[in-house]
Amino acid sequence: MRLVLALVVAATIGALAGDARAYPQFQLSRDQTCTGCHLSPAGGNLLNENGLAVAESMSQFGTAPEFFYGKIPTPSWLVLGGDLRGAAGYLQTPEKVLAAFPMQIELYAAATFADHFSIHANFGPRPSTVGNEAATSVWSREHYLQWQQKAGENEGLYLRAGRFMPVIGLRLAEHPTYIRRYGGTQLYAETYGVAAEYVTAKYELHLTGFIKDPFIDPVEHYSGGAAYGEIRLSEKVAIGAEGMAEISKDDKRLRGGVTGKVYLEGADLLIQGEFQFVNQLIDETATNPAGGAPQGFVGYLLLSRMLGEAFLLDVGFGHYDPNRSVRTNERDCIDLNLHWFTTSHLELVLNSRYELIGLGDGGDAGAYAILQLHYRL
Amino acid sequence: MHRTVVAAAIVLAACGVDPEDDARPKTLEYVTEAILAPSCGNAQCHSSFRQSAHRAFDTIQRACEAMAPGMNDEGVLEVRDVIAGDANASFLMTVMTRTIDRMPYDQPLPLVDLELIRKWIDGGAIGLPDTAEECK
Repeated sequence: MRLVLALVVAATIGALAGDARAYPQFQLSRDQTCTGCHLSPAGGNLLNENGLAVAESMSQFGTAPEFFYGKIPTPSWLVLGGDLRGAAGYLQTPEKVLAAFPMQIELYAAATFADHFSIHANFGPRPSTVGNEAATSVWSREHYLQWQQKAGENEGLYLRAGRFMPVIGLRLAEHPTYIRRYGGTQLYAETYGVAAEYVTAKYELHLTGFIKDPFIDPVEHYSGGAAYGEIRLSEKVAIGAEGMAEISKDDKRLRGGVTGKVYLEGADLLIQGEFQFVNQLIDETATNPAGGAPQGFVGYLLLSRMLGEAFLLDVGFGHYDPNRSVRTNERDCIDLNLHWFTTSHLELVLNSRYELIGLGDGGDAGAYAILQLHYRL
Repeated sequence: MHRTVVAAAIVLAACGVDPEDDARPKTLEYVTEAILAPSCGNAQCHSSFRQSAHRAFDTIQRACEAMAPGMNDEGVLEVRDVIAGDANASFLMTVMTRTIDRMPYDQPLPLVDLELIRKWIDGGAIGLPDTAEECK
């Protein structure tokens, strides 16, 4: 039974990072924008030349940062990469379980053509749909066509069409953070859509329209739109605003929120936060004539500091209140993540969390401490 | 005095209602969309994407199909996760309240939400049809 439990917990918690996204912890402290290090205007996945240089410079034993250490040369129009992740650790929810599990095996490719156009795609195994394993064992989580106004640069106008995550908020890599899980961008929430994005050192704006994935049983069942804008008030201070409207067969969700980022240079401390108000409107039906309109909050405050050259410490505080009119159903957590960038390709991360419901009065507390191994191809 | 009363009212409003006075709709639609979908229907578990244990709770139709009585392979109608009117006998309540293998695995449900689900089932599981074939 313990083995079964461990396997199920593994599947449940599995892929603590699940998808390779950017580390916004480096924004302001290392670079102004996600495009400073990534090919995608939203960040995540493939690194550009500057991103590779950063990966090398901040690692303990800085090795050649290129794809397969540069042993497999690629033409200038093609960028390849990938992420492998696995983890093992202790979970108490409140059952106490030791578990080990794979998290991510994904390959990425970006091919540029006609100067301004590029095709981006990733590919890898996925958690299969129970009962339909044969048809759902591999997939491409993201694939899109991108047009970039300023070829070869990391600012300007970007247009994307295809399958990707709607762009909103801080876009943290760790999907268990409340602002991802409950904030509209949970794990595997990528879907088909179009985006117009403008990125400069001073500000950035992302507009995304999306539809429910028509081809697979999806994680999110909504169609709608998302908007995120961020202004850098100085090189060390940024503020942002976000909004999202989602419509499904059963309900509607409206989100509005703000973000803020401050880099305290003297203390080498980046403080960033996101606060989101969520108004869910459950459809009225014959058996549910009152509908229902739970109004909730999702918030996260993250403090990040480099420890020496190769360690990054994150301390995060999360709050999720699914319905502000109900007492003792809100969740609060403290996260502690310690990253060790050993080589340009290898990262060890200790992810840990302690969580309370209703500040201890609403249910059992939960906790986990998981050691994650991340290898970037 | 007037300010004190107003301030107290604001504080009470901010704190929300007492669970005993929980006025949230006790219906399949509300329970699914407000509690089961965000807590149980996440990607790796009972989403339509994963359908762990052949169950999904991220849409009303899928939750309905998991909970309403359905035909088994022999064409016999059998009970699934909810027995309308009897929360104690319903598998849904059992798995969410037992101490071993409790659901959701990654984080327990708030007690006030468990109580709402219990009252919904004991109240006849409004919205849940007699058979899963009627779910829509």
